[in-house]
Amino acid sequence: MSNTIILTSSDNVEIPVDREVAERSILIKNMLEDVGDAAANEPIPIPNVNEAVLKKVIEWCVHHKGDPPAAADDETESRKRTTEIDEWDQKFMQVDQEMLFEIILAANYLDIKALLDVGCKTVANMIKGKSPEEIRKTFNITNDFTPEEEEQIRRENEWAEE
Amino acid sequence: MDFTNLPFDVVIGIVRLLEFADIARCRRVCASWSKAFSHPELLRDVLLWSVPLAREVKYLKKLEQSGLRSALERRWSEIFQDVAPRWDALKKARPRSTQRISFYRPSASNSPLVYDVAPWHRIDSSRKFFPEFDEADRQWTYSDGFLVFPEPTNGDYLVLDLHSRGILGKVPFLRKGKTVRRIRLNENILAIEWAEEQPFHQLSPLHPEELVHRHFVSIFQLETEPETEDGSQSDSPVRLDVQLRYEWKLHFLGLPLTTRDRFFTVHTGSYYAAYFWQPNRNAWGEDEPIESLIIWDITPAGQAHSDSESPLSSANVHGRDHKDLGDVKNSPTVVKRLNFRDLEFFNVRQGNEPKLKRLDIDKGVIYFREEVKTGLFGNDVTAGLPLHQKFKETITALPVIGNGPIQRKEHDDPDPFFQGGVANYRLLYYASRFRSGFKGISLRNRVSIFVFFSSIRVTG
Repeated sequence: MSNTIILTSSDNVEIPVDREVAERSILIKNMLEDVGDAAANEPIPIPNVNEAVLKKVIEWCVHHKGDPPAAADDETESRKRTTEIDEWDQKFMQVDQEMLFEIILAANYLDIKALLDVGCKTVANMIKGKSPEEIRKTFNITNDFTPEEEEQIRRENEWAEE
Repeated sequence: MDFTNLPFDVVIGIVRLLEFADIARCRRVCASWSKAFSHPELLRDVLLWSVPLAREVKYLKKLEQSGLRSALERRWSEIFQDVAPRWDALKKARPRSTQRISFYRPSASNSPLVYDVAPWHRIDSSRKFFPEFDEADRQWTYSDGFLVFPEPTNGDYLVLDLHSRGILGKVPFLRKGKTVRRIRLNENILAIEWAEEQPFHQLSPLHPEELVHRHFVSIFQLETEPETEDGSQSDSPVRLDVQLRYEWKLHFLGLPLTTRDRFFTVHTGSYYAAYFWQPNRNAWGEDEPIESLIIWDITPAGQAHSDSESPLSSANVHGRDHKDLGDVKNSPTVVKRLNFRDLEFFNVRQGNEPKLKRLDIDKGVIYFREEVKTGLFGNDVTAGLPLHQKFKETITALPVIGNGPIQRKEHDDPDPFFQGGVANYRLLYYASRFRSGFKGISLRNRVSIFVFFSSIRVTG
C-alpha cells in the first residue's frame, strides 16, 4: 500500500499528496476503498476543483492531519450556533471572496465536513449583526430595489432593526 | 460567484448559523438575496432547526406527516413572519410591545375604597435600612395570560386577555360598600379579599378608636374555551365566563383596618390558605401577637360537605343586614386550622419579629418561606458588622391534610426572585428585569403589560 497518491486538478495539474491527508476527504477515501490497492497508484481526477483551490484544500488537510475525527453529527454542539473559528483557520480563510466560495464548494464536493464548517462560519460571520448596507459592501452587491420595493421590504422586516 | 449561487445544502449550513434577525436583514440587501432568504424550503429548515418546539412549527410538522408537504410550503413563510420576531424579542429579553392601561384609584369620597394589606419590613438597624419582605399588594393581578384590573371610572374588575388584548368581561363583584384589601388570580381562580366599609363593632373598650371590619373573600372561577389546536393567534378574544364559586367570612371576629393587623393569603385551584397576624391588645402590651393559619378546600366538589369542620359556616355572612352583598354562597370546608400554639410547635410562629416572606401552597403541602439573618459566626447578629451578615432561607413544609411528615430545609443566599414575598405576584417575578419600570409606572396609576410574557406561553 503506497503512502502517496496523486490527484489531478480540473486544469490537469498532478499533485502528489499523502494518502492519510487525502483521506480527510470522504469522497477520496471512499473512492480509494472502492478501487482497491491495485489501482491506488493511478492519478485520481478531481474534475470540479482547479489547482489553486486544490492546493489550498490540501494545505488545510495537512495542517489538520492529526485532528480527531469529528464526532458523528454532534447536534448539541452545532445547535449552539457558535461561529468561533480557531486562529489558524481564520488566517487560512483570509482570501479573496472568489477563493473563499471556491474552497467552500470544493469542501462540499470532496466531502470534508470540518473544512466546510469553517467556510460556512466564515461566511456567516461576514453577515451576522451587519446592516444591509454593510452586507452589500462586504459582498460587493449593488442595491437593485426600486425605492418602493425597498420601503416595503424594510417595513416587513422592521423588527430586525437594531 | 455569489452567495446565492452556492448549492442549497451549503446555504442551509450558513443560514443555520445566523440569527432570525440576520435573515430579515439579508432580505433587504438586493432582489436576489431577498428571494433566496424568503425561500420557503430554507425557512422551513431554519425553523425546524432553530425552534423545533415552537407551537406553530410543531403543528405544521405534524400536518406535513399527513403527506401535504408541497401544499404547505407557503405556510412556512407565513409562520416565519410570526415566529421570528417573537423569538428575536424573547432572546433579547425585550418586550415585543408595551400596552399601558389606566386603572381605578379611589378619589371621590363616595367611590369604592381600597385598603392594601401592609407588607412586612425587615428591620436591619445596623444598615438603617428597611427593605420590604413583600412588594406592596397591587390592585391588579396577572396569571396565565389574563390580567384582572379595576377599570378607571368605577372600579369594576375587568378581565383582559393578553393574547388578543381584548377585554373579555366583567367580574360579577359589586364594589359598593366594600373596601378591597387584596386581589389575586392563580390557576384561573380569582380571589378578592375585602372588608365591609362600615365597621362591625369596637375591638375592645380599651381601644375605642380601633373599629373592627368584617373581612370576606370572594372566589371566582374563570372559565375559558380551550385553545385552538394549531396555535394560531386568533384576533378575536377567547370566550370567557366568570362565576362566583364561594364567598365567605375570612376571619371570625374581623380585623381593624390598620397597617398593623395583617393577613397573608395564597391559593391554587384547590386550596385557599390565610395566615393572620395581629398585635396583642392586652392592657400591658406585653403579650406575643396572635397568629393563626387556616386552609380551605375551594374545589367545587367541596360544596358537598360544607357543614363539616367549619365553624364559620354558621357565622357566615347571613348575619345582619347584608342585602348589598348580592349572591352569597356558603363557605368552603376548612381542611386545616393552626393556632399560635400549633405554629409554635411547627416552628413557624413569627412572634414580634416576623420573618415569613412568602407562603406557598401546592397539591398537598403548604410552605412557609422565612428569611433569617445570621452572623458570619453563628446566629448572633447583634454584634455583627454589616459585612458579617448573611441571609438564610428556611422553608418549612407542612401537609395540608394531617400532621406529618414535616420537612424543613435551610439554604444560604435566598433566591432574589422571591424577595418579594407573600403576595405571590408571578408577573413581578417574571418581570424582575423590569422592576424599576414597573414601580415608575404604577406610581402614575398605570400598569404596563409586557406582551413578552404571553409570548412565553405560546412558544413553551
